Amino acid sequence: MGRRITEKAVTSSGGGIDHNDPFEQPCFTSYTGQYNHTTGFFTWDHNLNTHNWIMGDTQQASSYRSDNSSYSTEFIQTQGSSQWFNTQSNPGGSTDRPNLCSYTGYLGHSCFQNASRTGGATSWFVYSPGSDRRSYGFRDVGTLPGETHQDYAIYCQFGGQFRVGQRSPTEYFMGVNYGYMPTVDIPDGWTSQMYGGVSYNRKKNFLLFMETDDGYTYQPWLWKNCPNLRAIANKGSDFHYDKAERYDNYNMTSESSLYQDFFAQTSNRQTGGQTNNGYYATCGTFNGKPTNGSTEDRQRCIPVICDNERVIMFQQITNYGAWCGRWNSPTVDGNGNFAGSQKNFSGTTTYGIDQGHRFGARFTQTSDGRYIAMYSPYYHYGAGSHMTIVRVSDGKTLHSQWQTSGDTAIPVPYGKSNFLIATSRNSYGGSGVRFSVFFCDWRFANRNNNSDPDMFGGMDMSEYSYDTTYHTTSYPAIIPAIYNTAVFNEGNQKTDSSAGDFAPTST
Amino acid sequence: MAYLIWDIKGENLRTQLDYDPRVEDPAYETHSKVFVGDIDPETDLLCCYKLNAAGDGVENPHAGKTKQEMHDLHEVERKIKDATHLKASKLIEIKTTAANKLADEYSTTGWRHEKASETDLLNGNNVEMTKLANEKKAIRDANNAHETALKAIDPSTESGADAVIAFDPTTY
Repeated sequence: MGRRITEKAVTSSGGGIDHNDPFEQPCFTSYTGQYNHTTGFFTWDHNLNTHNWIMGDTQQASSYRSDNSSYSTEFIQTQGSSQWFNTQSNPGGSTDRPNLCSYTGYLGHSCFQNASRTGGATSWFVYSPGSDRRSYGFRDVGTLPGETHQDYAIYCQFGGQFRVGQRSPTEYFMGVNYGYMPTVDIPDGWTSQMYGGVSYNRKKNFLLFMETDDGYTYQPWLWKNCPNLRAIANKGSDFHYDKAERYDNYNMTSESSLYQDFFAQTSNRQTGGQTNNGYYATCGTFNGKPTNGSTEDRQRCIPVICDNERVIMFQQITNYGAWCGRWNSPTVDGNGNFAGSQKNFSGTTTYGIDQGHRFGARFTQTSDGRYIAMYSPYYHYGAGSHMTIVRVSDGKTLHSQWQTSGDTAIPVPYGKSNFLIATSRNSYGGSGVRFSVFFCDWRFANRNNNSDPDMFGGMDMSEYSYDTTYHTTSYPAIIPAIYNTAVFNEGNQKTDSSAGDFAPTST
Repeated sequence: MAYLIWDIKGENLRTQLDYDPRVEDPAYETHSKVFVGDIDPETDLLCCYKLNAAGDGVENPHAGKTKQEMHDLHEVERKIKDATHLKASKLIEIKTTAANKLADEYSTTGWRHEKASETDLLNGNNVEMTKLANEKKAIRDANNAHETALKAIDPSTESGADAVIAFDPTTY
């Protein structure tokens, strides 16, 4: 069963054919290295074939990974003895390792620049202050349920500073640190919006903000008929994009297109507190939600607004574990009531944003946006995992845990609708990079809501097949790729109905 | 009744399930051992559990202690295990650091060697090459001293493990 290769004539630059098989795009990269030993990157595509690789040998003058004063790159020479890029310990051993699960997510990896999908280049590390800067984006980025074109990102800070932009934590740092990125202050429905507490369902034009009283109580606030945020992002994050240019300035609070036409009209906000037909119920410790006195679960969360208006919320409870709750739809299956805790992961000491904005819960989503995986560490800085995957169509959730103080595993978007569960397990002895495939449709079809499908079972299936660059004990950092998700969807695959090939829903 | 899942490769208790995974997957025991038992995660830590001597069950060596006490004891164990691996790795690192220093500026094709040999040629002696050799010997001696210092640290104690973790193999 093959896939259609799309051929598109290129006319503006003198002709040519663009061959584009979505599965030949990069899927993820492994990085291993220690001090000045052999170090490098391997990247695989969505067929799990080698996409590209680069490695160095310190004994060679051409080495890029070296302390040699004459031959090193600028970053390498400075970082040659840095703990940040050593993979000699597993994620339970130090805050300064690139293999911590909290360094990954929808925006890629905070310690590495993302590779361009077209150039065949691999990822490349950033100097440690750079990874700290990139982490602001990982802290604030929100989910995009159902989005097939994942070339942009939305962000929210505690208090409601909302931004849209490219899928780039570097670009976002311009906004969060310098104030040089368009920003809208979201009107409060009840109290304060949260770090990362935003979810945009473009299929339904829903924009949801989770609000909190900063005292462990939460309430979703849903805006409907939201403008196309992707269009705004791709036009350059300009909220005035559809306004006439003029010499005098627009007033952001009274004339900004997005603000005036959408956020300033509270009629777009379908919830109106406990008296209106919205998500009137709050959730908090009185509903059994655990807390442990941390900013991570007081001011930060990962919400998902589903197609049926259910709201799923995931939180890392630092120094305790993690938690997942749900609100039912105001109109489809209830009155916006809080449906209770869906999963309570009881663990032990973990780091959240109180220990730095590079720590905390993270999420990523499948190429078609139909499933969103939310996760946080079980132990300390980034070891083990508590993970919830939500099906966007109806809010069904599955949950699994890996309660270890040693390694970790992260979800990596794989193909159209699945995740790889890729681990930091020791690559020593030729074991290489170890991962398994989580087939979302199948696993969700065969499990009850809120059950545990043992996501972390079978993680060694790829053992002895995917090389790493270091010759002895090494715990790989997994770098999720940023690629063109849109080409995984209708119109670009041979199995599409429109292509006249096998269609799962046809007879 | 729960099913406790022991990760064979990872040598740790990964999770507990409310169903027997072997029913759906006959090959499950190729990667995980399955034991019957109940662990209350509110009062117990899965990460503390070890395989018993017979290999037919798991046990928590810190049973009866509070969750925080279990965590603290486990953290010391984890640190010692980590430091033992790190000590071997850092001993290699000391050698490669010396090798890099000698191969970089002091190699036979490097500028120091070239300058010293040509200076000696012009002066009709071996003063500069002797100086160069002494500098290289100093690097090797420092390497040996650094190795000796690391070898003297016992990682099987908490303080020793901390010392190994803090030891910088590249600065000498």
